[in-house]
Amino acid sequence: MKEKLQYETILKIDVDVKMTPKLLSDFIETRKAILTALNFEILDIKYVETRKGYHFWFVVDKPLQVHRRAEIQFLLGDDHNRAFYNFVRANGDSFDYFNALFSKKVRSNDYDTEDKEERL
Amino acid sequence: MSKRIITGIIDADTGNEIIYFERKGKPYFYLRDKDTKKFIKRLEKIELRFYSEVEYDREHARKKNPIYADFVALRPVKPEEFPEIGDIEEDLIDALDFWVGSKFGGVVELLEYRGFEYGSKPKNPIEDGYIYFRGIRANTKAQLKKGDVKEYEGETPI
Repeated sequence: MKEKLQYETILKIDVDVKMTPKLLSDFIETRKAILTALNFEILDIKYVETRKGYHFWFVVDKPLQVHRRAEIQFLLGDDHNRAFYNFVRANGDSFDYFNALFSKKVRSNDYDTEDKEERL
Repeated sequence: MSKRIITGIIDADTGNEIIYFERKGKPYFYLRDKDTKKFIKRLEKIELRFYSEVEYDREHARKKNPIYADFVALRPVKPEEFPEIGDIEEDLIDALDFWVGSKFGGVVELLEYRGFEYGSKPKNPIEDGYIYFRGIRANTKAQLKKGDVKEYEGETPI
């Protein structure tokens, strides 16, 4: 097995809930509160709207190993099913290969595109 | 007059934008801040990743052991290849299906396609010119809950 991908400062969150602008703002503020409570400095926050909800990227000041990243992503409200599989992946060497936020989804027998692909 | 085509894709690794454009006939990738639109850096290549998983429907899950299996194929994409990205995506799906089929036989029939990532931070640990494959598998739900999974990897020339 190749070298384990370990330290990263980016936490990736998948939320399958549509929010009003006020709720989205509150969601981000409460994520900031969680990270601050865990003694992180937040360097950047990015999010994009998807068909079902949002993808978030939180950049923190301290590099984290995979298992801690899986835990903090869960604490930040990551989709619970995804969090369960991420804990399994974090037990092995595959977390960073499968901690995915799709740019484009496809279905079997239906090679369509959806979500947030942008053409500028 | 030079042709200028601009295409933007969300970078799955950072949440920023990967911009493709042509200037004086030469293609480029740049990473650009999604919010401020400031250029962050030029990218010599990006990484295309295709994910697939085994997904039993409820009827099958009741009758059989619902195995868990996740697979990904990763390959670099250079700016000059980007105009053909649709063909590259389809080839990557075929490559992953072939790898899974050759390694796990009938499992390939159970694959549910999930999606693509475009990333600015390559994870592929092998040299350019190769597709890298990665897989995780648990044969029973009990194994999965215990975290008792097997991991696989492979590679093939593009």
